[in-house]
Amino acid sequence: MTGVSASLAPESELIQVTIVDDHPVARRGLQSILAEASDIQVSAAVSTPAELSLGGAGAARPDVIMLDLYLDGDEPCLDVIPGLCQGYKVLVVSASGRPADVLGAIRAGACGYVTKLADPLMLVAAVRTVAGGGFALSSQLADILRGELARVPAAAGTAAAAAGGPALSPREEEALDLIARGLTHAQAASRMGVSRATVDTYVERIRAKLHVGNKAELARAAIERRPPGGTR
Amino acid sequence: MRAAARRDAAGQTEFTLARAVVLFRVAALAEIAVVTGNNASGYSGHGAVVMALLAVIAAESAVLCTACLRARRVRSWWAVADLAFTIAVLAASAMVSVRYGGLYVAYPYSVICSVAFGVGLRRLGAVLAATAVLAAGYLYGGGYLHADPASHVAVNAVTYFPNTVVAWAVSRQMRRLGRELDASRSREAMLARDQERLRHARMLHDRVLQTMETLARGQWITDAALKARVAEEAVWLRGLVEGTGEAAGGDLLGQLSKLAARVARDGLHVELNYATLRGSAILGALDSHRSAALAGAVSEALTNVVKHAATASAVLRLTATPAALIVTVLDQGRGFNPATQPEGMGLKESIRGRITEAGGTVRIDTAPGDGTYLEITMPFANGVHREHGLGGSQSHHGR
Repeated sequence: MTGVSASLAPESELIQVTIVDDHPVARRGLQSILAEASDIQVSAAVSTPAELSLGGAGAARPDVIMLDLYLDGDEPCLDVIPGLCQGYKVLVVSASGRPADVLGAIRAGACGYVTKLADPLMLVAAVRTVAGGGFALSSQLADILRGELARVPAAAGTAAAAAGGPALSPREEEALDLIARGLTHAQAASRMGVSRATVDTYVERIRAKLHVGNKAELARAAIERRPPGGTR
Repeated sequence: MRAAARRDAAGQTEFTLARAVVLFRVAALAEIAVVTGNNASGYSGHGAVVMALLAVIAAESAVLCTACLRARRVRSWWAVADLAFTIAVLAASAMVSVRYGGLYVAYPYSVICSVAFGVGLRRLGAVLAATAVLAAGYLYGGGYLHADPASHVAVNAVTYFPNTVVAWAVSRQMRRLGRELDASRSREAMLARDQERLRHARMLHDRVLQTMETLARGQWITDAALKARVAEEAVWLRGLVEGTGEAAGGDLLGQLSKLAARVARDGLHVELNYATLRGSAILGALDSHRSAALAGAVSEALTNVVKHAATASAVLRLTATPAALIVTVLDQGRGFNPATQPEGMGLKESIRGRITEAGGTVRIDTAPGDGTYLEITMPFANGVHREHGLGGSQSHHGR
């Protein structure tokens, strides 16, 4: 259970990132920020998911897809996330910080969510975390998840918790609170007197609880994943 | 409540009631006209007196009906005046009938007109009192002056009550429904306005703001002053579209986002996180004194980060326990040794002094090379403040 951490990729292997954003200025912005990180390479930047040539034999397989949540429309493109997450790690990037969008993206399978307002260093850190198989959690995202998961037991009483419901354990709650203050996983770990890997594990569990937390959402996601003979 | 308000449901209800009163009155006039016409032979040459009485009744009715239709409502004092007139008619008609013959037409007339008292008077007590006075007027006119049989007079007198009371009950119900409809319409209109505002905010947010924020951060703008300006405007726009710009739960959020805009000019990027307080009225529980102390302290803290921390970003987070607001400022910068490095003037006076004086507490956690964490706990003014969804979330605070 431990070890799903956000360690840097080996020197020889660059993190391949594909950007999906309909906003040319935003694409340029993300590219320029990521260009400053020596371990990250932007292999493609396209405006819609349809332009992704993911199946192509010769195409470099991206480690991380950075997906803009509002692709040329009023509605968040939550429906494309489950499909992309089948084979790729998706980091959702958006100008929106609306809790419903954030939760929707995470529940649809995204490995992280950063607002476009995020500090460049944070953005780079999030890409590294997601590439390493982790869950990129920002200060805001931590608080949104905290609010979401704290509300469930309050409404359903202890029965939900007893039935393995998604209530946070005290240690998970503590980790989330520290991350919400702006601490890194490593700093949170040293505050809590545990290892960095343990904090990563807490975060993974919190993410899993989010999926348990909404069975209807899960069912919906499952239905969406089923078509063309999907093996899930 | 005058001309402008008449198009609302409450106004429409009043108008409908006023028209009902007018129609009842027209029906009453028609009835006494027909009855008097059919009995013309009974007046034995004194038709002029009867016609004069009818003319006076018609004139009063015309005044009342015109007033009702013009004002689009029935005023209470009109009902009282009409009551007095009706009692006079009951007496006069009895005297005419006794002296010159003919039927006692005032009674059926007064029975129909009594509906207006139920509509015009708003309180049941007033309606009952008016009806009792009317019944007494009839007992005098019909029973004493006209000398009708006591059993008839008693039954007739009671007949007024169902008319006025039912009219009162129906009017009351209609008025209540009208008010409810107005309230729900105004709620609807407010929701629609909010939706429209949100739609605009969303468009600005998702298109203009992200361009500005990107420009503020990248290398495209080489002029540092212009770039700082774009950064500042971007923070302002974010505050506007997120509703922190104007009095959303006290203006603390507005002040804090202004501070974020100010330090953006100095190259410090502040992530303002108030996710747990979004859409909650909890900041309203802070009085202006405490809000001002918090804003002052945060301003000083961010200035310290700009001056000393040697970092380009900080996280400013607001959250709450049931009893207090927690504001934290964290940077990953240089940090300092609190043991060897005495707290500077800014920290001591502007932060600690201000907060303690306003009833809050300050905690600082820092070490050289390990950033600085500042935590301000400010109790809500009115003792315990409960907010659903926030309770219990602070019980496992890492120390």
